[in-house]
Amino acid sequence: MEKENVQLIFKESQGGRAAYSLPKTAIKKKDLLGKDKRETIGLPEVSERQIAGHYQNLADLNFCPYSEMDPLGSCTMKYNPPLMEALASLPGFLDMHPYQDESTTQGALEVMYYLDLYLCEIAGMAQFTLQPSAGAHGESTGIMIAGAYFMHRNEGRTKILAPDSSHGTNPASVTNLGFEYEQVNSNGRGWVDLEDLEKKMTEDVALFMLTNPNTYGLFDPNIGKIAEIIHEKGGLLYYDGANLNAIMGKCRPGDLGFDIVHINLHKTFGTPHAMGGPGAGPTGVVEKLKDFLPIPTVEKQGKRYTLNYFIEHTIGKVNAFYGNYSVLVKAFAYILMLGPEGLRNVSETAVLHANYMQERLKKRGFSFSYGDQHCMHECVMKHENIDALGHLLSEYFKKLQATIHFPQAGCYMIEPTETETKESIDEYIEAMVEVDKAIKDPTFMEGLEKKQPFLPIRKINAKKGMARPCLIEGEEE
Amino acid sequence: MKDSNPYISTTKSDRAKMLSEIGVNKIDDLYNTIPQQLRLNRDLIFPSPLKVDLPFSEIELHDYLNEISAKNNSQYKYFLGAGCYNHYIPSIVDLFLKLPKFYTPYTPYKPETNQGTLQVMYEYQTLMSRLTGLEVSNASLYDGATAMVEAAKMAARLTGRNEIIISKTIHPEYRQVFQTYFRYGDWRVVEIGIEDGTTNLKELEQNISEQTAAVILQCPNFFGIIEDMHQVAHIAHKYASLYISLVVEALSLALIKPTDFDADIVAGEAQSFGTHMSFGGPYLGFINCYNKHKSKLPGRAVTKTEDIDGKTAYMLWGAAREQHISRNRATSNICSNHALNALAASIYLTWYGNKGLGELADVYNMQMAHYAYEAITKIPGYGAVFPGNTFFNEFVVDCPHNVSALNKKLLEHSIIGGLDLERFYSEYTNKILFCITEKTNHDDIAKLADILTYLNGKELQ
Repeated sequence: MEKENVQLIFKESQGGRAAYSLPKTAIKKKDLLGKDKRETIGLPEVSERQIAGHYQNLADLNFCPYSEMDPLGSCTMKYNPPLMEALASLPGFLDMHPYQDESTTQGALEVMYYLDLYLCEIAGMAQFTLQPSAGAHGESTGIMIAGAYFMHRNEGRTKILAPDSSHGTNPASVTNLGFEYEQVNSNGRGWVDLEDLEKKMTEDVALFMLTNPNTYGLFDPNIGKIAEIIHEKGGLLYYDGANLNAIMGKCRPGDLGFDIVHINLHKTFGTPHAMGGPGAGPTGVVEKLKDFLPIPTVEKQGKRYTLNYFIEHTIGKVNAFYGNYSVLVKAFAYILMLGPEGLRNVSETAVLHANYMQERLKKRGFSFSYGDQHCMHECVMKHENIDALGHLLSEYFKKLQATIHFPQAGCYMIEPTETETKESIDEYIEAMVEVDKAIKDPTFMEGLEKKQPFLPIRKINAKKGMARPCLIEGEEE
Repeated sequence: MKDSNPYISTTKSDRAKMLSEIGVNKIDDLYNTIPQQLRLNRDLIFPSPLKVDLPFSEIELHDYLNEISAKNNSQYKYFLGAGCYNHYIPSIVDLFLKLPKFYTPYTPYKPETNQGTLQVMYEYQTLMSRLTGLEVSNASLYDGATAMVEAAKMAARLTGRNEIIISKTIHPEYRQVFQTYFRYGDWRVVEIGIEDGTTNLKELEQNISEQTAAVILQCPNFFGIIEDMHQVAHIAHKYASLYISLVVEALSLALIKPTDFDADIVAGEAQSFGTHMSFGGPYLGFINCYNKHKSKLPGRAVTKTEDIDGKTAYMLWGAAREQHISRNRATSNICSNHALNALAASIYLTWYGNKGLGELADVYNMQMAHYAYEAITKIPGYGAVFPGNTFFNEFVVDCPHNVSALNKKLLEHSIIGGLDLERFYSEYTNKILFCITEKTNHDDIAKLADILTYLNGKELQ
């Protein structure tokens, strides 16, 4: 017997099996491609029965955030309501071509129109583009908007700053668009080092990209001063909305002095992460940057919604069509379902849960990078053996691991989100205590290792995987 | 009385216990780091699209979105493609996309708890690489247009050159996305003109140089035409440039294998494989390359390996290329990708299988499109615009009417007509790009031809 959980679909293939069915046709076939037509494709031949079994078995190998708290810090793995899936799957939305006549797409455009309004209100911006497919795509869009704005003003600003604690996408977005990246240090309290920022904020800097609350889960109280430093030198301030879940209805990036904002709908607005995506990263701007947004935007003329392709200094387009529409529907529905009070309750409860977690863990002997401060929606713990901690939680307690080694090595960044119950948070804490004991005391470890593991494999052989990549399955002769 | 909304379980009593554990009186105390004058001291204001205010109940929300989504009649017959294709999606695809164990998990950074996701991705990579003929596939990008951008940047990294040649037969909105991105940094983008519906090869030869990192050619091109890929590859390789084959109608891969024509990188859009049109997204960007080029590949990729007991297992490979490890030195900034669409493609390709996909592409798309082409070009006024070319499932004909007036008329018959080419190419007035898929059968084509014949000679408003 092969040592694998689920056989590859290619190994189930047998000539003569097929799942597809196509209508009868009387068409007279012609030789249209001649010798340019390829020979076999190499796809498997299996029945639909086999396909169903295969994918069900694969699904079963995944840990599921529906059954377990998934406290991945900075990822906001909240509950994804089935209602939103159902609404986004309405045939009127799903079966709609992006180029069909506007008289038939009024419903779809209405969704986009209102979503733009709502996001503007939440973020304190003047207008959003809904086109970016993801947070990093929103960053690219924002950087290009800033770039076009300064080109328009004939200002050759080539540098972009971000703190050392920023998400990896920030510096990657910067350099991939040909800007120069410079890192700004954090101070001893996890906030932006103002002196360092002042030193580096020169007149060739276009943008300072900041996450606030930052990736230590702390709200940087100097944000007013930061905005002043950036604006004084003529730069723009960019809000990485990854951590927006902490502040809805409490404060707004626009009021804090930010000029460009991206929002991860798949974090704050409950749309699913879907094994990595699709998400959506709508990007909003203040009034003076509206004329640089990508085309088209959705406008309302009288009672009619229309796509506006005439934006004076538009950067162009960042996606072929209008963005990840189905994801937009889900976020729109989420906002309608919760309303103003509901969204504030989301943020307040997320912050309450994270602080509860931090305090409880502190009392149980865990140490925190900045445990003397209240955290926002996530807290960052430190542990000498983070890899073992995360792994053992999954292996013997069926818990999902939090974010490890970020923003610094040895960190365990926990974001319980508002949708967890107090009971599940308490249970996670108890599991952490047990695992910590086992890491520190071999007798406890022995006891743990007698338990039946929950994982379908043992620890991965990462060294081998990295050194000897096998990215596709070879065809059998 | 409910304490909270349907998605929050924390009751007043829970809240009180938690606050006391933390040692504060109220939740607002936790926000003490936000300066008072910067706080929003009011409720958010959301204008309601209905007469009732937010929040809606599940019933109200359902009724409202049902009503507005129904402004689009999902029973239309589509003769419109142009980068978004109305293919039939097997029920099993939609069902599996709705499994919580597929649609809720995060990116599979921790291999041990995400073996299902990782194996799905590994199989997807294998399926795509078999279609393109290449050796490596990543686990997905956003869409075809951004895949084109990523492919060009990859080619620039591989060659150390900064000039990219693209053909004007590439989807106009893809070129627009491309030009948007390449405005920043030290780039030279050259667009090559069109001659009789295909890329002007003379112009290509005149413009290519030792500075050219890559030549990008869409095939089938925006007009549905199968280009002379051999010749383009040959010209590119003479200058040691890479030939990037851009595929927007991925179903054509069932008949045309890009490596048969010496493609170095194949990138594009695989919406055709199990993803709904959904008003333009989310779709499925893909990129494939040779093994020797994989260190410059953008985005995630999965490798097969073992666990410490030697059991087959899967994990992400090459994190050193990616943004979360190498930050400003990453090959791309992509983090969230379109994994769920890749799952849809995997199930779709497996459902059709080796024989089915070829039959679907050949008989129900290409042959059927040629049948429709003959039927339509017989109608006076609907002459062939680019005769003598081989096309896949789209073709351009003259239109004796203003195209949008014609399309408005067709809509009365629940038909979504073809694309008005003038929308993107000012030189092509009264030209229409029709698309045929397995969802437009003989009867639909006959109905369209009848209506076109009937309208012939009539004034359309």
